[in-house]
Amino acid sequence: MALPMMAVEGLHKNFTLHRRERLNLSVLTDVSLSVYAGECLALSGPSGTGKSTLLRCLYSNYIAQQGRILLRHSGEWVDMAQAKPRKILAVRRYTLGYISQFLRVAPRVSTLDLVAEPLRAQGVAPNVARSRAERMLQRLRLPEPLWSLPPDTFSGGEQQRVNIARGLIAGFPVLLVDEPTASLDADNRAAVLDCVSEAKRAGTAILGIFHDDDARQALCDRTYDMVAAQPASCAG
Amino acid sequence: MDDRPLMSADSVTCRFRGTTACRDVSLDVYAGEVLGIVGESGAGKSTLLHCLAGAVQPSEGTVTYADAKGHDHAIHGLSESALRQLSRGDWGFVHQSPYDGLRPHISAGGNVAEPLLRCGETRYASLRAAARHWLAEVELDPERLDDPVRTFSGGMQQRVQLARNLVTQPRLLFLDEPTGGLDVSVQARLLDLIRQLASELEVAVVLVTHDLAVVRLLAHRLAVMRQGEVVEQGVTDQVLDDPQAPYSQLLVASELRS
Repeated sequence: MALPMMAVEGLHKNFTLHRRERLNLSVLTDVSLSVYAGECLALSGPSGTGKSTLLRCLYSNYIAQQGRILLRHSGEWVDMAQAKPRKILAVRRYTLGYISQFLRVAPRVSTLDLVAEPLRAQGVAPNVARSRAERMLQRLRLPEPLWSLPPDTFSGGEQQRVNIARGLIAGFPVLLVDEPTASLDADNRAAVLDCVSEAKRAGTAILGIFHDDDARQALCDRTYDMVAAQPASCAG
Repeated sequence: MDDRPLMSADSVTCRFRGTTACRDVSLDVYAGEVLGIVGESGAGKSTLLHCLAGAVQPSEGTVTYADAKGHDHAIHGLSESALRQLSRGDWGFVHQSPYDGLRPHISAGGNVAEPLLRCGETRYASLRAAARHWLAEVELDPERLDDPVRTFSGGMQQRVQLARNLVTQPRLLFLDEPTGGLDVSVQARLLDLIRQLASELEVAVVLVTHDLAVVRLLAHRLAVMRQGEVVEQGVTDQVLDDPQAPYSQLLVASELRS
């Protein structure tokens, strides 16, 4: 039986906007789910039902007001909803990857170094990290002449693949993905799905948002319906 | 990541002539990590930084530094010479104004090499080689080694100041608005350099700035100050993307985005 890698229990997220007369927006109400090693769980539901917000809470990019986010990190359970900043950073360095839709990176750094960065952060030697980055970029079909350039002038699809390469290279045991194949053509989509499937076969637990049917069919084992799972008061 | 902080501030309060520049501030600085401190002018960021570096005596609270051998020092209880030794060998401090951190009438090379000389390096060739190396690292022309630093532009002087602070390879670097007056391209290069120092040489960096884009790229953790107090502290992207305190929300909402 597969190991649970992440367990979310009774998660609530609301935003208090102090500059709008403390307006309170409830986005997630009582979300509970778990993700096992080697499986892919898809979040489904129309726009505005909190899919991306949930991923951001799980990455501790957003603060959840209530509930637990348990992650198996180097042999122990860490509750990301309570963890101190340094623990969160350590979990992100070794255990939890997040492929967002946007590439936000330091300027003037080459694509190759950006992709090697998550490995360097784990202490992998520069030459090893770079050669693994080369292999990853090759598999994701990013043309070699681009590797030495910073990605700010790349097309949307190229930037997306740089982002995916950064998310996959370190072999994180748990991966959050937000629409990994949006804005990719068929060949590049197939290359991305191939790499993500391989990570899954290697035991990565994946939780993601997949609007594209090909991606969902190729990767997902189960679906978590954001509307059905939450009390009606909060949906939409 | 080492779990013991290199420096800890515990309930630090600094009062001057009736005003409180910082109030009850507690924070930790770790090797290999950039801690950002943001807030509007007058929030007490620079006072706090000078207090961490031992230059300003707190009215209350303590600042503790763990040296390379693992010994703790309450820095405000140290003798002047012991503190000078730390600030020369172990720490670097890049001031907001280059004139506070440089000697304008001596050469760029002299400015960069001087801290090494003070640490006991006396071989002329090594001093020159080190100056040349660090000038190149901050993207200045090493051929200008012998030009007096007052003949450089403000942005170039700021880079000389950074080079002067890196030459001794400090364990802890204090940066007070280091990229304020720089061209965008040079700023990017310096940010990358600082990032590398932290990640590869395990330098701890405390960075005071009002530029949220700079901390977003550079800082692992972030503290938001307002009227002398830390109103919010956390992982940088969390503080910027989901700020909790009313003032942090205002600050983030006012950010210009490209």
